[in-house]
Amino acid sequence: MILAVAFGCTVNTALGQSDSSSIQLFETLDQVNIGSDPGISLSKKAIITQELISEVELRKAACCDLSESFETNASISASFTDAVTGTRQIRLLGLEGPYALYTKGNLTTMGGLASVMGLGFIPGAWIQSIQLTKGPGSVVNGAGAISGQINYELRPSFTEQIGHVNLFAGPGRFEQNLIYTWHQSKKWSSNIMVHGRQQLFRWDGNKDGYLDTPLSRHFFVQNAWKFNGKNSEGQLGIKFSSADNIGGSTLYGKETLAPIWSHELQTDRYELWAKRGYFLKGGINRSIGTQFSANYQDLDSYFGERLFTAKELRTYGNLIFQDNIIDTRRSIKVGADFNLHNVEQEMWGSNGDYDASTFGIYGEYSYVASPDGEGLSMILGQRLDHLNITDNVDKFFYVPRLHIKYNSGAWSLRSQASRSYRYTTLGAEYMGYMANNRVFNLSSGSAPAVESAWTLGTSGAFTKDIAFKELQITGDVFLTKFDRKMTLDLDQDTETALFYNRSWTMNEWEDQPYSLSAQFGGQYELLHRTLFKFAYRYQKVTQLNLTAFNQGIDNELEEVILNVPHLLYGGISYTGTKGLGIELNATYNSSQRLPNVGYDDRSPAFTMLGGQVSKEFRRRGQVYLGLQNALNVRQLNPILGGDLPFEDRFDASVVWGPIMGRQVYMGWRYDLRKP
Amino acid sequence: MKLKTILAAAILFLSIPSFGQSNITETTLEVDGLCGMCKKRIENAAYIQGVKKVNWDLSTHELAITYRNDKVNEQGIIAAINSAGHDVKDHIATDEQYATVHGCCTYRDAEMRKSHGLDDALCKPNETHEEHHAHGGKDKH
Repeated sequence: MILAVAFGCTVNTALGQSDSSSIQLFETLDQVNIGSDPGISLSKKAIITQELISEVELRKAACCDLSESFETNASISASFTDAVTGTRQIRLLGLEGPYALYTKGNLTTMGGLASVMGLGFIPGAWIQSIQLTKGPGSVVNGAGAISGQINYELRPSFTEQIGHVNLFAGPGRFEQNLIYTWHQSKKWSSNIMVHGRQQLFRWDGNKDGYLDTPLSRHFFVQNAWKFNGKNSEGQLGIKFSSADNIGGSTLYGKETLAPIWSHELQTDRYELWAKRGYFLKGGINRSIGTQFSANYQDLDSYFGERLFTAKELRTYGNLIFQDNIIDTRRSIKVGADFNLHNVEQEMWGSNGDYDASTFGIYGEYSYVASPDGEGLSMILGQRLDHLNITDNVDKFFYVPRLHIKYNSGAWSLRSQASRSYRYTTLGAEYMGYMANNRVFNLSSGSAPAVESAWTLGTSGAFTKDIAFKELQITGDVFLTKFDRKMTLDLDQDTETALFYNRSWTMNEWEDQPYSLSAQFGGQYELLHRTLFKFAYRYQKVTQLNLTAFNQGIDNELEEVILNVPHLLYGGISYTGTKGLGIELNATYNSSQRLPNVGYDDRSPAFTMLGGQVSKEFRRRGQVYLGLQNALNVRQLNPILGGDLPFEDRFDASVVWGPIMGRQVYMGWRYDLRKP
Repeated sequence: MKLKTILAAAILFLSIPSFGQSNITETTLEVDGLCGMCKKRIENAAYIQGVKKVNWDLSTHELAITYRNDKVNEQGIIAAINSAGHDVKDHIATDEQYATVHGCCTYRDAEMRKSHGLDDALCKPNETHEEHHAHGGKDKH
């Protein structure tokens, strides 16, 4: 437990509750104990399989935004969506980013337009901790989360650590973060967070004439308020994000004889949210809570000759009532929520406008045999949604979910069976596939498609002191079966891409596309102050084989492209007495399938090796110096047909590995505490 | 089945060093402090080579400590805690050492103690500063 650097007088301070208490109203899960901070930890009490990634862990990697926060975690892989926009998307249980649910303090944040690029709008320096849930979680947060839930907590305002500065410099890339709690009174507190990011230099390490990473300017600012009353709590906030990227040819803005292929993206996003919770008399677990959020995003971009423009307006509200039944071991949550979503977009020359409205009611019953989590615990959740999408869908969805946990001594065993559904926002979720000249065939229409799945999952954790140090061993297996799924196929030839939306009946269970993920890992302090971690992950992800489908065979599955079947992770983390920290991380990715025509069969396997040294000074903050991709592994030709960018075969959308080679970065963090 | 075998093997392997260790001492020390940040500082300081496990309880101020007595002794651990600025019962840190703790962790300050709901400090307010030096974190009373 002591493998942690000293940060923050945040717990049990004179100011009372730490900020994370505010979301108790909205969840049954264990709260973050900021006091003892082991990096990645597994909660013994949480009924749903989840990992807590603390600030200590987040500091171990270069980590500049949420999409880059998982470098020391084998459960999530992050990869580029394409070779020009610099956007990273995560994969959880083998499924792409939009299949996960993103929440901030358990309030839904990104979906639709922001479901891929939105992760880049959450600076790492703003994040206090991340809760990663594998597989669908609570129905209180909606019927999505097919692959899981990523819940992040931002730095609180009710804290003694009132200021934070983080300056980062990488190859041509600079980032500045400033967080300041400017107001604190007994009941109210407020902080302001500012983030700036610039990529100022043209970087073309592989000499293909295209920028390895786009020139960019990002600016985000947020003001959040928190209210702590006697029997109630409240939060409200406002955030503005603006991003401006230029990618593509290195000759952008210069005079050229031949036309060049370039990409520009400009987007502004406005967010507003509020939460209010009242504790009712009569003990714990009795409360009423409301959540509300609204956001608007405007995006203009082009990829060569292709336009992608979008506007999104989304409002969300949730009302939750929580109470005990008979005693505090049994509790229920009931509530209702709505989600109104308006999107106007032009993608691949098609109109992708839609209006979607979701109204849902839910109930969730929890049982805990013992307060310390020993014995049996379970959550049975059910939800009924009515989804309406203009001229396309008008339907009820029933979403049952069951989570069971059994703890016995050193063992925790968990299982779940869950239903989930979502609808796609075609353009934004597949934005990486704008960076090519393929002709897109939206044979099943450009309207949002509903995707739904069953998830079965089971996990085991073993935690025991061996030679006085804690040994943690975990393993899990998840199977996600889709009965409605959008398929994107690039296998036909290099000039076309095909979208197809299909559903399967219960009788066609065996034909349904699926994702199977199994993981095994452990950690132990093998040497004094040195934590060793390892993990192995297997993933098999399939989709409908559209080539066979077009030839009349409608039940053939094929491996999806860009899935990493075997992943090995090893990490060593040393924490010295005098604030010295040394990290080493290695991740082996086995070879990935590539599109059938115009590419090699499979990508080469590769290993990413990185390290970081940090030193915390008593009064001058922490400095860090790191090396990413030490083995200088690169995908040397991430842009196919780049020499003839206006021919059909131009394609920058198939990226299996790093584009930038070895990189050195450094930075400085400083925490300002109340005197 | 296979998984279970691997697990069992791993556990067996890792538990070998713990068999028949008679040189292990488990003890508790009373260490003064205020908050979560103090907890981290105390545990970090006490976790020197030879120490196997530390846990400081914020409410009781007891530091539970397990160490190999052939590698380190209690005096060494106490000196390490003192040098991080924290008072141990009968071993008060010097003023220079105490001055290194952060402003929000000034556990000797009566006002700060009151706001954290704590009783008297180990370092008595009526003791003179010279006396702290005399104790120096080494001498026993």
